[in-house]
Amino acid sequence: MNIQAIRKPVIMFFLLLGALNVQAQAQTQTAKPCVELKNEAQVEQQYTDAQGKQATRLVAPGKVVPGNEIVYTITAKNSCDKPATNVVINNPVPEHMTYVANSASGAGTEITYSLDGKSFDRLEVLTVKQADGVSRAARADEVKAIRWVVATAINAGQSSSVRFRATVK
Amino acid sequence: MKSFTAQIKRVSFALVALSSVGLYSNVFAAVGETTAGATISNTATVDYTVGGVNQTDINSLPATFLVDKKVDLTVSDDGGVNTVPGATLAGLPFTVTNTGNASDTFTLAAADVTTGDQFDVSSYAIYIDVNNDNAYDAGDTLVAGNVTIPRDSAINVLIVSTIPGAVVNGNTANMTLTATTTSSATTVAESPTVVDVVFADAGNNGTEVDTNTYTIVTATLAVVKSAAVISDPVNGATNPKAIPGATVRYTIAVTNSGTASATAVTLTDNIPANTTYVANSMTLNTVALTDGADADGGVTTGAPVTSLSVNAGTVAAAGNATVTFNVTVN
Repeated sequence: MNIQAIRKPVIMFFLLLGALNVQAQAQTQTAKPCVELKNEAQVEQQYTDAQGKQATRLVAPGKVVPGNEIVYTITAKNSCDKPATNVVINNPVPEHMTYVANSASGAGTEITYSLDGKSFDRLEVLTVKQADGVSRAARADEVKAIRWVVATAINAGQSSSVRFRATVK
Repeated sequence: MKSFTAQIKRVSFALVALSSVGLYSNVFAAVGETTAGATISNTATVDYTVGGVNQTDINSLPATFLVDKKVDLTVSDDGGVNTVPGATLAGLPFTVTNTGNASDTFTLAAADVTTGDQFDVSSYAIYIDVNNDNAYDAGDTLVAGNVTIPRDSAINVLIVSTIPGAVVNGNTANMTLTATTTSSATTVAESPTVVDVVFADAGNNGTEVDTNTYTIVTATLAVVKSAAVISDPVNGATNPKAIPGATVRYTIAVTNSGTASATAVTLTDNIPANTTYVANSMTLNTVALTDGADADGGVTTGAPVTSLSVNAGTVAAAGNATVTFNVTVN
């Protein structure tokens, strides 16, 4: 009886301490992160330029129906005063969409792909085990996620853009 | 978002309810294009270090857009139809398929093509071919108003016509079936939060048409009658002459130059004046027939005989039937 009576406030104290701790962590997290990530969905639009030439530009997705292609541009911007290193951008292929072969790009990045969203590798080495137990090379339309490893640091105020295309199923 | 989910659920329920009626054949179940109204959201994540310290992963704001309504349809004929002069309720089959990504409502219109064929039908109407047998049945339903077809589904349609009597073997009549969506294409700049309508069919006009053909396939009968003196009382069978008492054989040949069998072909002939029918002298395809009304199909009328009738039965396409009978010259 006595021991329990003493224990209770002790436990309460630790619980309170824990809560304070969580609060403190939350505060550090809400501090403005160094890297801002922007994700933009666009479509290609053909237009005639001022000189009367046919040209292509990216515009906000207008009418989008199955079969249409969307261009995703992901931009990581370093808004801190220190360089951001080991920058890795991940993007799962959205639901209802199919990755377009060879469409992932990003200057100075190493691009790998995943069929399950967990393990990443170059598409050429990824394989799919068929029902008969034989493995075959993975197809682009089986890509579930794309990863860009930015080779060099993104310096303060600089940004790095990567891109991929996907079609609406 | 919630209202969209609810809407989609309702649509799929309606689809199930309708397919249980058997009106629609779900022909493209495997296609499964993204349904109109679905939201596609994309979120990227970045992992990085600053000053050698790993920072918390940052998620981008999701880039989202709505999948718009793709209006797409096909109209195809299910093969030409052979018919006969004067046919009523002659069905001409078509299939209308909704290949869009949402249920859609269509107006159906039939038309008789007036050029490039040999005849026009007397009247026509559009029916749903409920049992999909490509022919009109009592269970088929007249199309009154628009028809709604679930996505990735097809309906079987018949143009049901009355064929005029004055047409001959080989004549054709072309008819068209046009299906037009009742949806209006969105012409204003699209809003990412509104489901717009896009015409994705051939020609991007929300309307499709196909032509199908009735062909008259019937029997075409020609009758040739000839007479030959086969004996006379003076010369017998050698170079007989048509003198009184001579026997004359009449041959009635029926040929069918059409492409269908003629059934219940009956030949009748009157006994010429100044001649007398030779009893039991009728033949059908060289088989002798008796004069009485019996199973052989040959029968005479009157005493003395004034006319005769032979039921030749079926005369096949490119086939013939020959009836002969003898008379004596009075």
